[in-house]
Amino acid sequence: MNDFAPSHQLEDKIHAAVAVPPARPEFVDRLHTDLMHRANMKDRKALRPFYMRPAWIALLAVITLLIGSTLIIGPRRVYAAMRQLFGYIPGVGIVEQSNGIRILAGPVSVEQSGITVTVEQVVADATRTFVAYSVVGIPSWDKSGVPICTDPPSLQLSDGSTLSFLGGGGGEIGPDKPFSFATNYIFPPLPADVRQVVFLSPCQMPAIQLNLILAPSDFATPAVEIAATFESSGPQYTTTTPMPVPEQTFPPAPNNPSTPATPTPVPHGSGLHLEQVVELDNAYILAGNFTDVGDLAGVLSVDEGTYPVLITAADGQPVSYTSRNDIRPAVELGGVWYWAYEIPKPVHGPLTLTLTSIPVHQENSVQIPLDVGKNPQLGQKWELNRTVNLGGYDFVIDDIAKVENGYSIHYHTNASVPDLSLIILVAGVDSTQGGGSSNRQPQEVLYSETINFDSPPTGNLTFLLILHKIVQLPGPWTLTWSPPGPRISTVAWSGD
Amino acid sequence: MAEDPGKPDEASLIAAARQDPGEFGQIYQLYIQSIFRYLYSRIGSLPEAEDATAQTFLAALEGLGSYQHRGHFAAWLFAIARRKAADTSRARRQVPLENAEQSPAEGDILQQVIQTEQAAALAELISALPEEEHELIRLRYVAELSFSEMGRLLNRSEDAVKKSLYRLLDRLQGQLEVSHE
Repeated sequence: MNDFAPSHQLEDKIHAAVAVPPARPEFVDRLHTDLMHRANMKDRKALRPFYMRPAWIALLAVITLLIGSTLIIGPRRVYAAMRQLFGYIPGVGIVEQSNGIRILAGPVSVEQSGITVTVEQVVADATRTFVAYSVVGIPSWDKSGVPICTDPPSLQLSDGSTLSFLGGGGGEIGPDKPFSFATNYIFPPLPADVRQVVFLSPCQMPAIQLNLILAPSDFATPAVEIAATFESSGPQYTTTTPMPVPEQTFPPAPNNPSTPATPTPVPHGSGLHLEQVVELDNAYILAGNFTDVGDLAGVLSVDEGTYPVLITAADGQPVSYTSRNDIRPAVELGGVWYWAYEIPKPVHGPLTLTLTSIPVHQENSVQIPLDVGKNPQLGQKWELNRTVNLGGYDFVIDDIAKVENGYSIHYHTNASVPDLSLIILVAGVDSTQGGGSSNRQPQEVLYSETINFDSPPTGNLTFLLILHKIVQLPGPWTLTWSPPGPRISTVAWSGD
Repeated sequence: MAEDPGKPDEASLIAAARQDPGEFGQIYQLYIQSIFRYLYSRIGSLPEAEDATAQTFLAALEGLGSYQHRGHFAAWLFAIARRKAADTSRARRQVPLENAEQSPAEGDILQQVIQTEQAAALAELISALPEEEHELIRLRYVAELSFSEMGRLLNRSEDAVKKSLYRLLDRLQGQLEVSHE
């Protein structure tokens, strides 16, 4: 066993081992300028609560007209008109095409010093400008050791003004091309009459002139956004206390498959939420999220684990679907997992989306009170031989002993339990350092943990045993959605 | 890494930025290096790290209105950064050691060689850690977050984070000693 507090030397070594270069001053300055530009725009919008972009004013006018038209010419014709308003382009997302869509006729490239920048696709609608581009052959460091080819691109209009990106992202192009990447960026909308923009490329490359053309009317798949009404439910766990411990500060992990889970409505709790439904000619796209509002037995781990979703039709049969990562909110919130699925027609609703489990961070703990007296002696030992269950695993706390500057705790688990050592604290008392060790035997794993203090506490102590891990929290969480009635059809309308 | 008493009053900066988004620049200057270093360490590609850094601050600027300041701004900002890093759809690549900025060791050449070798061995050990443990190292020694900020970010108690990290460092030190025997 070894007491441990990291030395400055060790921490210095860790610092050196994980050191990375600071952000480049050019990048810092450029991003600062960009943020300030956006902040000023944001500020202006805040000061003008009724400010609307011209495109939105136009869109609002069209929608108002459609609502009015509904009253006059009937819903089916209006539905047909709505189909002309929106569209879906795989990889790009939903587009608004009341004023037409401008696109790049074909990829445009420039090459210099072995680096090739290619603007693959531009889709400009009334609400945004989508740009997909790739950069191939980037040297990671130039001869002076300064990284190059890292600035984000921008779009320049004929009046010299530039548009900075709003969001987007991408990744490297395959493991065999470590210094090539492809990225999609979203820029603000181009003015309605603009057909030429300049792509100010990263990598100190020549600017690229982009000539846009009006997309053919069938460029985007006709789409209609329909009401996203749904019902959802989540599991209601029967919480059991596996052993008599003084107090469990967190509910035990309900990861025992035998634990009954009864679906219960969770309209405002953690669970699946539907945000948007888009109807295409041959499919529906359902977009939504799983939100953690803090009532789960753990904290949703958005970054890790898997989210196994099963979609079933009314007859209970599985429905095939495709994930659509091109439909995501502009600003993504923490504690929320976003999803979008394309489900081919015909759809025999209601459809049920079932999430069988979610990954959560769990911190399970138990408290063990122990009166060590007012003057515990060095070497004095308190035999406990108490089994506690944390995270579904049994830990046997063998004893607690007084050591020079604190206390040592010995415990063991069955050898079948994975290496999950506990964090042990004395409630309400700051420890100065500590350490632990483990010894795997054929039948069991023996652990020893020491906690030291500037002034070891005495009297009635509460030892806090904590197990932290990421587990798949079993569901099911369900979301039920019904497609619209038979009015949704791709046949030509005959009128009312 | 400890709470810096000389740090600007973060609550005031945030309140000012909520009133006037133009004031966001001060928050940006406060966090740009730590956010970038964290993302570069985690993503391993400079263009991607700069991209993710830009997206992190854009999201923070957009989301500042919904942020409720309770002294946990760093945890909130790093939660956004972690999300952006996770969204980076690329194979994770560690920063090649030769590209990492090493602190030049004082002393003679032999000592420098030893220290460089130790740093290389340590870097190798760290890169082999499970992601959860690697993240502890990253948040503490790259992003230089306090234990309190780490605890808030990881939804764990400050003491629990501290103990986890110290236990990990103890193990790394032991492995480092074994590798040099």
